[in-house]
Amino acid sequence: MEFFSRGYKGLLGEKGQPQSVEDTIAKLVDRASNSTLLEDRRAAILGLKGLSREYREEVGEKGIGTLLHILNEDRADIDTVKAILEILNILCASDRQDSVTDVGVKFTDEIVKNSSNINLFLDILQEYDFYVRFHDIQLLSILLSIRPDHVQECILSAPMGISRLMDLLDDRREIIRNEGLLLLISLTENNADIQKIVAFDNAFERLLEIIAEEDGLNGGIIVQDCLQLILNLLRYNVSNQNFFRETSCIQRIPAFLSFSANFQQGFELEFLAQDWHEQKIANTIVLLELIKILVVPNNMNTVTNQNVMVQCGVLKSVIELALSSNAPSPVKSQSLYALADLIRGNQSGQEFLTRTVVTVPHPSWNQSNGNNVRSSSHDQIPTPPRPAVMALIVVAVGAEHLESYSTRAAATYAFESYTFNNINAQLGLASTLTPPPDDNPNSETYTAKPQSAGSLLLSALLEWEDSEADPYVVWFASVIFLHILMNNEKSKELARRIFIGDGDDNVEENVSLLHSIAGNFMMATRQNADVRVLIGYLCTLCVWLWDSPISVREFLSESAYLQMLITPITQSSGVDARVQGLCAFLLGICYEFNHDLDSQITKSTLQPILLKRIGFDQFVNRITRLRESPHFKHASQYLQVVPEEIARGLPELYFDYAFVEFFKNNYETIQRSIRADPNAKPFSGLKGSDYQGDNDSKITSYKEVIQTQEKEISQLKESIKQLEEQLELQKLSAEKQISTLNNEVETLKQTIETQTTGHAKLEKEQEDLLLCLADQETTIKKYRERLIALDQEVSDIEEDEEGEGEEEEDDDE
Amino acid sequence: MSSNYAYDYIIKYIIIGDTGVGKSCLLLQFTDRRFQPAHDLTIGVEFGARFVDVEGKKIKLQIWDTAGQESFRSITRSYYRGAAGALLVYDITRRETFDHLLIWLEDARQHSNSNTTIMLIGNKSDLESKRAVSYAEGEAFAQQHGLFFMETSAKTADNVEESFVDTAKDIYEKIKQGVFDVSNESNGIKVGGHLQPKTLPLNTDNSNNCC
Repeated sequence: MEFFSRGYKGLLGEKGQPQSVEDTIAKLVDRASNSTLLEDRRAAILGLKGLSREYREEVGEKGIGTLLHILNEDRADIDTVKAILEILNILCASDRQDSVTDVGVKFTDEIVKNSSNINLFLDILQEYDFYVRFHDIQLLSILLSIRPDHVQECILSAPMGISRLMDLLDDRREIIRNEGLLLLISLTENNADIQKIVAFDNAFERLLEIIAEEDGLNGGIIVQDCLQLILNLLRYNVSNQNFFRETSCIQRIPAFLSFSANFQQGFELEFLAQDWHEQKIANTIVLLELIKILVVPNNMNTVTNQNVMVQCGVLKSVIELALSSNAPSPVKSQSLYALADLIRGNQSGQEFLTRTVVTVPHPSWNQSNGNNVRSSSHDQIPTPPRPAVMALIVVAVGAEHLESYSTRAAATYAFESYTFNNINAQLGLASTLTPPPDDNPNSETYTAKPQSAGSLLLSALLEWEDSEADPYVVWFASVIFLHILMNNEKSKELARRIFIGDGDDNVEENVSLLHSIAGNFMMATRQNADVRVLIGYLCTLCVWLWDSPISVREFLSESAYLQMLITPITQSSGVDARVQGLCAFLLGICYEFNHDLDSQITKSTLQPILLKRIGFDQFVNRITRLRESPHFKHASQYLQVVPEEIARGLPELYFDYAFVEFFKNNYETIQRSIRADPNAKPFSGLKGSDYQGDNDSKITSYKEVIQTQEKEISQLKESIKQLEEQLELQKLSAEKQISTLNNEVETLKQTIETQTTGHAKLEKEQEDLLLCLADQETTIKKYRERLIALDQEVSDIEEDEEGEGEEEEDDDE
Repeated sequence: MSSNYAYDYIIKYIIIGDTGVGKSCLLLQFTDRRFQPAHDLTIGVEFGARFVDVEGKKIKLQIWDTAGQESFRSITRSYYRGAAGALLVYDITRRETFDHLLIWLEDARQHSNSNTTIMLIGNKSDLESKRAVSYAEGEAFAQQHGLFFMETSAKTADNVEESFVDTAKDIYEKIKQGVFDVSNESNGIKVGGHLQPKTLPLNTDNSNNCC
């Protein structure tokens, strides 16, 4: 207060009259820059601060240069620094209305044009004082929001800049830490270099620690912010993704997601009855986003990351969250999308899903506690755990209780990912396709019939009568079903063997599944069912008949179906253009893959019908119109829908992306083919009319052989690769071994050499000794001879001599 | 599985030097044991990692491969302080890359931790016929500035392993002597969980729960 009064008093005019604001500001600025005493400068600045809110533009115009200068000069004085930072914050804060006239933008430009200013702010971050740090961070945030590129560049070129910012994460004062976190989030949004430096400064570890300290996903918004920052660091940044994986950060995800470490008694209740408060939902969704970022389809790192995630339990946790938990719809949708990307095209992930069995969530868990108590006493008959793949179908077709459309679309997409490049999964599912049981002895106790994944799917696929309420039962079922069949003749064959009947007694009344679908389409058309139902059936038929002459033959064996396709194509109004296009496409497929297998409708009979009844132009136009229809062109790649909270009503989901791709790849062939000579060589390389029906099965079997061979080849290639790798490794170790062995040999050689020389020496010695011995022997001999000559008794051995000597002594005694 | 990820120490390296001297190839040879003759220009910084064994200790090397181009120089500087090891690379067939060493060294000394171990590397030793800097010159430079020295070939893998491992050995030696403050990760060294001094009370029940 004293500063204020002193400051202002000095500003009054000579006669004590107040001056104009401009004069006051000019005087304060002058005093701030010219006073010799620190206190005076400080007082002037506090005066400016008092005026800065009301006279923002004036203070800025006159004072900003001075303020920046003093900030540098008087850095040691906390009060001055604090006040200046506060003023700068006020000056630069943008009104967010019009950036051209905004004074905030003007002052920001004034500050950032000199990069040493940013460096100064970064240096000031070292000051521990709460308000200094706080205002400093705020200022940097404001500058960054207004001139992101420039500020990012300045921070990048300051060698310690990012370290300073990272140190804020260790600040024990939560506000500082959180503000620092927000600053880092906006700093890392789109600059890969900054992302890498932040990661280099151990960001992942620090952030994961904060998340753990803050009680993981149950924690507050700080957890969301930490996850958001990690997300920023990983998005589109391969180097950081490698770093994240190599520092075992992926392994820390499962612990955040679930309690599955103790999947024992008590687990289920705890896991299934979690309290999903709003923040937890937000936290979980960001974490799922983070997982998805690491396994974006077709990314360089995806396969490696998928493998790690399968191995360390991320996939398991995500499956539980998606299919067993009481999570609310947005979380379920996101976890299903994450699940989809985790297994897409990844064999080990897909196999894991095949093996996984999940607990079935009870609808009452979604309700509030009061309801829960009531229902638990009464109707809570636990449904037995079921395979995860089946649970996906249950969710998609809404077999038990209706999930939101976005969740069901996500489950369908997850299923697609499961069958993507996975022939085994297709076949496994095709083999469970059995007609749903009509009569169920357990229906008293179980609301749901005990069904296999396949029978569940079939009943959903054929239940179009209820489609008025929910056309997506049929639509999702169609999409799932067509993915079981897609490009897999074996699956199609299994599907052709299915017959749907009213009663087992009358076999003749049983209708094949293919005919049932076609028949359903016919009925649904007549009764004006939702267009999604029609589209679903037609897409299924297209995929089924494509490249499958036997299926085409079966389809055409009922002549009514041909008419069924021609009618909508030729109708000029009252039929949905998409349905017309699909009918034309399907008809084209029937022509292209009609190999005249002892059928009444051969290519030659079909072509005049096509060209005359429909006409080539109409045929082509129908297909082109479908190709250009907006829903078709903009089909969502990941089968995403606008959540119904926002969309209100049915989602605008008409086409599966995989089908769209399939169509785009082939529609031109079909458009061309109907004009081709019916006797000419057909598309698939087979001869037209001149071969017998049973050739077809041969061809199919050849195709199968080729397919299996191809698979074998790729397997062999894979194993060759592995073997090569092994060989390389072995070579390396062998080389190492050889070199050690060589070394050993060398040492051994040396040993031998020394020993040989030693040996030679010894031998020589021995020789010398032998010579010596011989010498001595001669000498002895000589002496003996002399002794003999001297007539003494001589024995051969010296001992004897001695002995004799003793004897002599004895004799003497 | 956990043993795969267990380490005794994590040590951060950076690789610096002029553009085109083979920094990325050295890293690739070290981490993936392969050579890629037409490597794209490094943009910014790339990351690689590998385990090495020093005196029976499992040491995980985290290596940041920097861009040599002048325009990335200021970005590269941010990495110096946090690295415990630096590989300073020149190309023995291009004299100018050797002449620039002093600039690099100055930069490194100015921005890095004073304990950072620097290994001078003359790369492309397989191109003997094009040699423009003799081994003796490289050795002399290293000696003069207190650096380790080695000639390597990222192509034939000659000495690549050694250059990384020898640097790690020196750093490990410094760790043992207590030169580094290993409790502060910003020095580029992190100690594995089991080697850390136990400050927590040995309450086994608790530790079981949290792990």
